[in-house]
Amino acid sequence: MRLHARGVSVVLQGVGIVRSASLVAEAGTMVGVIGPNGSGKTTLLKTLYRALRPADGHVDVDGEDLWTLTPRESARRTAVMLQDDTSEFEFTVQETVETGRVPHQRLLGRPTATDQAAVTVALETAGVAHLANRVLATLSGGERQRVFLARALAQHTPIVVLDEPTNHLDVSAQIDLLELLRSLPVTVIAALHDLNLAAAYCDVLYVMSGGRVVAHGPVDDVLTPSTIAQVYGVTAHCTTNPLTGRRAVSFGARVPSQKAAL
Amino acid sequence: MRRAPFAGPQRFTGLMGALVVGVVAVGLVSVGVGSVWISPAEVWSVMWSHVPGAPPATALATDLIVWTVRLPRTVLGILVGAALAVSGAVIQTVVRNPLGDPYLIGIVPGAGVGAVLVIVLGSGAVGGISLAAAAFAGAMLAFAATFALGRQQGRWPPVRLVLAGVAIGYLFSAFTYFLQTLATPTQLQRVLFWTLGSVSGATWGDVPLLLVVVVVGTAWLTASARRLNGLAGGTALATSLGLDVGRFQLQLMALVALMTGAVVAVVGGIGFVGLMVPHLARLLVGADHRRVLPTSLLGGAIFLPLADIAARTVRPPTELPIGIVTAAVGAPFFIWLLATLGRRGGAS
Repeated sequence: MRLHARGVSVVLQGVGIVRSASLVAEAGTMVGVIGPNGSGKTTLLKTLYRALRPADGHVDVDGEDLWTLTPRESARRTAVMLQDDTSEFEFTVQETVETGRVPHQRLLGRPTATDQAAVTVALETAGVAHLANRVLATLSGGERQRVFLARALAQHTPIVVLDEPTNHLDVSAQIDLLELLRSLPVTVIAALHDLNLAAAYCDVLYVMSGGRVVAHGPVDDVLTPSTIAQVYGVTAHCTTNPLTGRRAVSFGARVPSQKAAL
Repeated sequence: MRRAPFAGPQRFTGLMGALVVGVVAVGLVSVGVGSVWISPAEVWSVMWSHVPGAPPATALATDLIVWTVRLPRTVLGILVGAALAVSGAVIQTVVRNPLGDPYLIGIVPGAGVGAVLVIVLGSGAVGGISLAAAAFAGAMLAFAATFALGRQQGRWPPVRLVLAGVAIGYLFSAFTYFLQTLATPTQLQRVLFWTLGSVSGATWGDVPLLLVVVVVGTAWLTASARRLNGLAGGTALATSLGLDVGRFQLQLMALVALMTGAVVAVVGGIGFVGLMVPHLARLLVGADHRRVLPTSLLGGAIFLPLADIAARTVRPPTELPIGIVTAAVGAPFFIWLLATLGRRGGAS
């Protein structure tokens, strides 16, 4: 399913957080959103799953405006994996993943066989089936991330949005997670901090700075020393990773006498 | 820490069965205990005699004590306990705060203003309505003010809602305290008993409305249990799960306000039940609302009549306000449970 954000702006308490940002995620592709802290990545993502209504602009999902859909219809198209949230820690893994079925369930009526199968498959796919009866609070950060991924998978949506999914993960777990996302027949939009991971797994990158999309396109076009210097204020050297054949970035010192945020 | 001891389906069903038996047992004892002891067999026979078509009761004095005095009191206690406990569980989820209870969202301080107005200035001061009606009106007013103040961009951010509730609570309490400075000693005694709650004045007339409110409210909340699990993950997550968060919060809190408002209007401000019973329930069955709500319902329905039994037997012939008992008995029990479960659980 294709997602298209057109000229999205978000104003929070009088401050423009996202300014006229546009983003296209073609069906089945993996789109990375990169940029420094505070550049508006999380806020832009929030407009994609209906958590924030843009002050201006539109988000189209499969050609339909997100805000003409009901919340439930939207939740059947787009699932989200958020950064670690401390509130649900008393819940077990199984119960947490079951909440992914809420958009498919009526107010009355018991969980169907489809619901149960979706939860089982999601637990196995994310590699947390053996933790099903554990309480969330007792898991490691990496295990919790995989549980939240399992919930998003249980939601059975054609689009999955992830906000820094590789936080708390060690190298092997990062690779497992991104490989898994690549293997799924869904459209993925992920905010990522690690530029080398973004380069290795994304088809298209969007670079945000100061609430704007300042560059976008195929990885090799976007991840250049000049863009990195401009956005992060850090000198960089770009090569090809000999193991993956993908772009690799090495960082040097700060760019002399230049502020990071443009 | 593995999951809670009664979280598995079979053990949960067993717990439900045990709690239902507990409600009936406590109910029978509650009807039996008092200045005259009446055995469960006699209680059954009196209740049976009121079934349409059954032969009338033989002992009129026993019938009067059981049917007119103790049974409505017991039934009211069960309903009040159930309503407060279920409401507390829902409030804690909506405000995402373990201290959530009917005090925190202004209900009890609001009811206090209405009740104390009638006690001190007479019902003429509030247009001739009864104490219960004035208390209910006060509760709804304070709740409406809390909810209006807590609103931000069509939703109710938990921290903002809590702060609004605390502010409104203090404001209404200030008015209540001011009224008390105008009161006579006799009136102050009534205010004290109202503030700490009591089911001693119960009549059958109190039961039908509360029964309807509790049954309808609990049914809807239980049907919403899966969505409450989604809401527990926070606003952004709940939205991504297809919940209209603002509308859902409004529905939940309006229903809870009606339930607790109706309860508090009849029996006064009974603390502790709405706060602690849901926590006890979570320690037993985990956080999933599909189990927490029924467990809280039955737990409250056992705990309140039990507290009422203590309130009228600790120092006969006088009766203690029930709020003293709920806190004095419940808090140490909760501390003990927290300590033992925490030790065994290890982590967290």
